[in-house]
Amino acid sequence: MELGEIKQVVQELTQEFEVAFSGISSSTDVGLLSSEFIGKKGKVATIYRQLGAMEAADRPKAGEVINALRDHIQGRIDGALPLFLERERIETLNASMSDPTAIVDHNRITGARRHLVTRTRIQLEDTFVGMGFSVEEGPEVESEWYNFEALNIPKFHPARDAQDSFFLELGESNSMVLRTHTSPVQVRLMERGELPIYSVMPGRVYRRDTADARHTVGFHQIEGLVVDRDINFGHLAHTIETFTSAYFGPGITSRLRPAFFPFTEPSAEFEVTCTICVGKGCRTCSMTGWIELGGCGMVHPNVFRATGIDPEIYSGFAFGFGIDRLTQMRYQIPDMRILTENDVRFLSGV
Amino acid sequence: MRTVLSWLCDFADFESLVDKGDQFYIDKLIDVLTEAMNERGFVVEGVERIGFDLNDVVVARVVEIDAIKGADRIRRILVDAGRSEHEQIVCGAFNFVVGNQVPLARVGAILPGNFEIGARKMKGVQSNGMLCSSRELGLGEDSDGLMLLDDSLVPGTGITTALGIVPDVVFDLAIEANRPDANCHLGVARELAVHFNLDFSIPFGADLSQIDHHKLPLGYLGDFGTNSLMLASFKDISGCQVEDFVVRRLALAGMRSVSPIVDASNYVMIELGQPTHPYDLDKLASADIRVRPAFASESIVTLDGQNRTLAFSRNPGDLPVDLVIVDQDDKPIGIAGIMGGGTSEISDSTKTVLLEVANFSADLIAKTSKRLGLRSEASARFERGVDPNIATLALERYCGLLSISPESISSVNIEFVPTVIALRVDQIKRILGQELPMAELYTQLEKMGFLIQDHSQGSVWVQVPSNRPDITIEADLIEEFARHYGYHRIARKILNVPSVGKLTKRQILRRELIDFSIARGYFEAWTPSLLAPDEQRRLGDELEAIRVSNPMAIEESVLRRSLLSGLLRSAGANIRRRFDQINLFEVGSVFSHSNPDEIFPVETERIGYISFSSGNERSLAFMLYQAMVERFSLDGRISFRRVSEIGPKVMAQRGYFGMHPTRSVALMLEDEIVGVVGEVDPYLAQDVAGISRDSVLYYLELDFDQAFYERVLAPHDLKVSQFPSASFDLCFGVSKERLSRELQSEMEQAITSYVGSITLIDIYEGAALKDVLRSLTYRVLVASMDHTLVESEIRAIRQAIIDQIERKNLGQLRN
Repeated sequence: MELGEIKQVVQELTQEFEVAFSGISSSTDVGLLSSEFIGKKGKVATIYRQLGAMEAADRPKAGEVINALRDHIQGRIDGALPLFLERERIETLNASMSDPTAIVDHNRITGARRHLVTRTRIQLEDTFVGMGFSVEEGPEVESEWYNFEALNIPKFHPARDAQDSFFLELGESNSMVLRTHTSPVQVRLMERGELPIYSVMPGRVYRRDTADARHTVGFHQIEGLVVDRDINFGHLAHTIETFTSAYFGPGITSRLRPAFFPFTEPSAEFEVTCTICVGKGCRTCSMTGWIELGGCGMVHPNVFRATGIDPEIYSGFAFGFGIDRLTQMRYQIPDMRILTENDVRFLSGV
Repeated sequence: MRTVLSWLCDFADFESLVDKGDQFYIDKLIDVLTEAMNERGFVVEGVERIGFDLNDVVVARVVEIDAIKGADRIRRILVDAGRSEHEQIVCGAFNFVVGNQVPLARVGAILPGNFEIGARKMKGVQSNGMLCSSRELGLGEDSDGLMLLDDSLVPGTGITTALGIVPDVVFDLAIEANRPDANCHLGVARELAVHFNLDFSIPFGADLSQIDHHKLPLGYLGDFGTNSLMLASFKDISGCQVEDFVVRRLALAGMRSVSPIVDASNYVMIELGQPTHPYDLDKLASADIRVRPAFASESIVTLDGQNRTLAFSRNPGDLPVDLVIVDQDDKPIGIAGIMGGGTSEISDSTKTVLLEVANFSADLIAKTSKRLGLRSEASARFERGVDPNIATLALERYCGLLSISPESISSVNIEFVPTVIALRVDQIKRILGQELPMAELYTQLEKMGFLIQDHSQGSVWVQVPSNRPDITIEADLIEEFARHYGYHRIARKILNVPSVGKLTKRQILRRELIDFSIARGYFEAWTPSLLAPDEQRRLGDELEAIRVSNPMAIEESVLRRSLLSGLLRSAGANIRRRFDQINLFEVGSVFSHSNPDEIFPVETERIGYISFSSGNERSLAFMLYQAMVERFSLDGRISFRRVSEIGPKVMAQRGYFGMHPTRSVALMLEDEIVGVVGEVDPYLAQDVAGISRDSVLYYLELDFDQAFYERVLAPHDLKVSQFPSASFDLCFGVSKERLSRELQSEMEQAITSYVGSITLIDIYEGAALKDVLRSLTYRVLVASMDHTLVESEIRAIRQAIIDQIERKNLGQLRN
């Protein structure tokens, strides 16, 4: 074959391709066109095979001409294919429309979450852990020693009355009690003698109160204890304030006022800015702007002596308050008794 | 304590704290005093303003009552309120008739609570003011209808004039148990006077020096428990009166008026804190009375008409000892410090009086009062401690109030020895964190009755006044100084915590378990630890639960031995509220006591789950357990035995009961039962929680420490192979008595030299099988740690598993 003939064939093929190309309408057409013209058995390959029958001198030139055709076709196909693919992708997606919000789920799990009291307890624990405290625990059934005696509450002390304890039919009469506060954990901790102590002790406690909107028979407390050399009332006041602002957030502050507890001296009650009205005065705080949260004070020397710590070397402070009461405040629960009913609407609803 | 402002003002000029001409004088005075009392630790729990804001309230006589058309809850009232024309009011009360006299708040009046009265129209009828209830005027609690006034009052008279109301304020104070000195007006006034640096004085006292006064023998105090006894006899008291303020203030303090003789006694108690007891002297054998311990089983009828049996023990440390006041014939006429006897009660016909002013040991009164369940105003004061040096002042005040003098006085007392404490001044800085202005505080304390003297370098002697039994050691004094300085003024100091705060591994694990349970759709519950005694017995518990010796109610009288009762109860309550999907869990302690040598019970923390679903799920509880095993990488140490095989009795002994015997299994750690999983016995669930027997309740409960904690925290290798896993299925015919988990455990045994897992993927119990068999299909996934398994190895593993199962007779391979 002559070079001129090759050129002629290439020209015809170019035209044939252009006609075919203008008629394609899908990526499949592009693929078919590609194999028809530049596939292994395609029309361009057929021309290449005729090169062998040519004069050796003409071959490079003829090869160039065919290569140019092949590159042209390849270029057209490479340009067209993505456009068709993109168009087809969008058409396919549009055609497959469905409603993602319409679900029928027979195994649906609704709103399970931590109990409100657990939630509050964990938030409190985390606040104190953030301040460098450890979390200590102890038994709910306690001996008279841990619950009263070691805490400077001797027999017939009015505090034993006021706390109205549940005694158990274990051992001698009135010797074992459902703990009325988490302070026995403090006693156990001090008895262990690993000083210094920077700890909080949350847990369930029991008082012989008639259940009403503000009380349940069992409830939860968190107490704190710090024992070290040179710990003073200023540290106590600062710790209460740090906790208050860390837990309740900005704008909520604390104040101490004199009080009486057998296990601390000096003793104080601490109040925090009413979280409902932020100190302006409302019904919750009886227009005072303050809410009483708990008790605190410097550990009484008798408590130190009872637990084998020398009050002349060590000093310390303790504080405590109700987790449930805080929960009630925070979530505005009108009646505490709902906390033990475990209605799933309540457990999930808040 | 209800504390009356005018009463406090008898002792110091508190009214001078605020400018009297100020428009808001009384409000400002209340604020100033409230703040001071709170700072001093006398917490103000309420403030009542009596008789203020009643300037435009007058007496009005009802002259006409008419219905209003279209209204059945209000009526048109015409009143004569002293003006030339009758005034028209619309009123919603119905407790009066024409001719009655009632209070009218005129337009412009501002009633207590800042409630301003305006002219209004209701149903087209003009109302020029409001007719008031006693509550609306702050004069009482009655809000049911209008306050009805005496018919003799002149219409138009101001209500305060008409009723003789003296404006006053009552502070309701919470006085701490350790401050008996502040449990009376004298004490509160003294503390406040010191606070405001006002002059304090006791403006009364009668000269009794001319009265015949003789000493009684010490024996009149009995053997123990009485510190002093003073007796004063009065002749011809029949005409005695007290001034109006006595009755008025007593009423404000919450005590009703009885008779001048009794009122004066009560007044002295509330003013000075010293209880006194007047006897009708003519009803006593003589004026010769004394104190002694009660005899065993002695009894007396007290003023309230109750017969009280008294007690005695030689050992006052152990048992309550009651003290009685006895007459000349040794017959009890009263329980000392608590309540007098009925026979010598003051009455209208009383002509002569014997007044007892005594001081008893706080402990003894507290014990007797508690044992008898009898509390009185007197016992409440004695059990906290009455000032041993106030008896004479109390008697003088009593005489002054009644304007009488005793015919004779006799007394005996054990000398009071004041407490003296050495205070090391540097301890103040050590405990409070800062130095205090000591000179200034010494002056304040001296005004409180403390005596302060230099002791040695750096310390002072402090003598505590007789009315402060709360102060016995140095720490008490430090508090007293801090209180006078002001807690709020003590500088806060940053606490440098030397430790890093963290949770223990056990605490972290518990939190993870809670969050895992929530993610699985379980709601966290909190159920009571105290149950009714039969509640667990009905669920099959045979051991005695620990009993509360003084329960509030029988429903809360034993400690739980399992979490099942509470969760079952909660599930039942929810089911009755028509929820068809309930998943609850609880983390809590259970209690048992079986070792008689150990006084402490065994208290263990458990986690319990209950599920109820109206759908067709199977073995929800075991699915949860399986998820737990995977989440917390529990290994195969725990094995399973059907409850029916172990026997419900043995299960119950370990604190697991109420389970369906053939549809639940015990979790075993070697021979120890550490949990239970399966279904609740439907008969028991119906009996105990009223849940229909057709419902299936899935239940899982396990011992936190035994099942979880130790295992999860033990170090173990995490084995992950880098080579591909081989997978094949095996199908066995298995008897219904067998547990699938038994097969799985055995299969796991067969592949321990590889890493992998065995999962049940199909259960078939169709009719095509013989009825004792079911077909269980397992998928085995297995890989080697160091090479890719070849075909021959995989065949060998497969055969090893089959051999293991068949050798143990657990099942037969099916094709």
